[in-house]
Amino acid sequence: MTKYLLRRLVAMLIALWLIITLTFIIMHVVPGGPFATEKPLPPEILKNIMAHYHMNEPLWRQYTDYLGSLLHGDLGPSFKYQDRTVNGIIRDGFPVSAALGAVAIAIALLIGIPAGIVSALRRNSWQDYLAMALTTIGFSVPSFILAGLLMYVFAYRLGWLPPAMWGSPQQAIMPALALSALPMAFVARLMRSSMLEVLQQDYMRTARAKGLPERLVVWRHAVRNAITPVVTYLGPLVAGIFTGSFVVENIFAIPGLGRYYVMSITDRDYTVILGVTIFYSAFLMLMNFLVDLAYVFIDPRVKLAGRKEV
Amino acid sequence: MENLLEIRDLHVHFTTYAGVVQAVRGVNLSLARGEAVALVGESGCGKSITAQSIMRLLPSPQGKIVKGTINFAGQNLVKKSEREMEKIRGNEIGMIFQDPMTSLNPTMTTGNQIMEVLRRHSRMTRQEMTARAVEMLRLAGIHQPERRLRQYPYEFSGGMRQRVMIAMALACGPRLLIADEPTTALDVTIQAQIMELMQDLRQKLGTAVILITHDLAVVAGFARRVMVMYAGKIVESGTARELFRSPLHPYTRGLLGSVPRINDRARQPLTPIAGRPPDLLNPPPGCAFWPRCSEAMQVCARQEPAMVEAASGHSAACWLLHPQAQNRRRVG
Repeated sequence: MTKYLLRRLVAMLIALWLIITLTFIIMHVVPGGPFATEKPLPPEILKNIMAHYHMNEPLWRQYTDYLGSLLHGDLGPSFKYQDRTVNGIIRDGFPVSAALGAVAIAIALLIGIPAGIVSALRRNSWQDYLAMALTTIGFSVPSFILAGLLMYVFAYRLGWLPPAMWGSPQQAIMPALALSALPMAFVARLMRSSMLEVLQQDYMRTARAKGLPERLVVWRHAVRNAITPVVTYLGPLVAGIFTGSFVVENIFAIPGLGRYYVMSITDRDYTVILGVTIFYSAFLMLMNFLVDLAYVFIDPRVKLAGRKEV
Repeated sequence: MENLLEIRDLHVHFTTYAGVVQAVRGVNLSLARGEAVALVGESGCGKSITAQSIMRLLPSPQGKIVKGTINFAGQNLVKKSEREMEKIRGNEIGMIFQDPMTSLNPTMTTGNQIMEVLRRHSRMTRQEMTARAVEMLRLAGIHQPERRLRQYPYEFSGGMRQRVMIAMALACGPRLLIADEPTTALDVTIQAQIMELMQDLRQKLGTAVILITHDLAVVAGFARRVMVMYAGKIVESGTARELFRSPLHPYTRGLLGSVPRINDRARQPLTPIAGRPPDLLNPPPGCAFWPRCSEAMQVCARQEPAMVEAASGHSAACWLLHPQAQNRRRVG
């Protein structure tokens, strides 16, 4: 167990280092820089700024300096937002993205899983067709269109919900819905196909032969076995949604992390790009790790040595 | 004494895309308390469907009992509601299946799977249920049952899993155990052990058993009475001894002829039954076996033979048993 955890930790650190290095290289290969503006700055000022941010030093030096401060947990200052550090941006943006993401995931699971179960149990019924048609829409309608539609109906037409901004629970409803449509559709499909497979299994017949009522057969024997793929999908989903959807956050003017992330790329805000990438990667790896741990509780055949006996 | 199980004129139909398959076409079967009978026949002859009908676990909505009665301990199971059947399944009738590797839930400990059936049908406390599960596993020949109770199916071999299935099926002390090809998926040596266990438990617990198999070797030592099924009907029934020694129906003779014998000094080649079973979408008129039968007569294609008792307790549905046919054969 301890050995397994250590091995995973080392693997994660190596992966993280590779990500940092690649991001650093790609970032500097792309033309332009944080201080490239339409109206060129006077050379003296530019030189001063460059010196201030240590950008006049050779790249390898900047790289090692960055790694050094990273070890102290310091992601450096933002180039774009004066007086703001990358740590500060993450500290401010992440809780907002996480709160929004948590609501979106809760909606996706609370609706997606039951929808998938019902579809599978009533295969080829109108409920199944309806649910599957809706998931197709959920897959194919981009979140910004859905966001616009929601805003138009609920904020503009009906006036039930505030159109944008962040702070009150009502303000979370529309962005969370827009954000949850795709994962909800995915979870429903995943749950449906996985249930259909489990329902075919011989142990379902055994459960019925025991005289269990259908409700127990489904819940205790089918759902428990069918949920594994959904859990697998949950790792990357949580990381992706928690770190924010740029589009949705932008439309609803929500000060989350996703907005900063995409803007930092167009701004060539080097430290923000690197910092958020590192944060995102570390978070993703952590989520995948937690999912792997969760398997142990869901499927007794999975042992933490990483091999699966059947 | 009244029979434990009495099936009369059972007809089961399956609705498929190709049409209605007449899977079971008038099965009659009776079983006394504590008796063991074997239902023998090739794949698709309707023996498993008959078993599923008793449990009322036919694949829904395709499979349907369209005619007949299944009388179990004085109640007609065909008329029971789903809820009433739930009280009978696992409680009064236990069932074990062909493939023990896939018949247990992989994410539940064996103990919980056994106790689940007790929790459903008895008012035992948790301790009593654990004690009962331990007792059942021990009866089923599993060592260290207290430890095995906490293990998952993947920690058991195929034969051991079938023992768990048997322990589970018998946990509530059912009066009838239906064993649907219980040894087909197992090695030959394990097969013998499982059959021995079932025989042993049957005698200890007094459970009646319907053994469904296509393997005549499995039947021989187990069941006193054997019924041979073909194309959805029982074509011959008799004591195992009689039936093996002097089979009446040409199909039974064919089945016995296609079994290898270890002490066959003449090294005769096995004689397979030519042809295929009939298409039950449109079962032929007359005897279903006549196209494959080497002794078929004109009447066989036209009219269905009735079950005739040729010797005491030994009957078959074949025109050859008709007095006129006897004469004809003697003449010819």
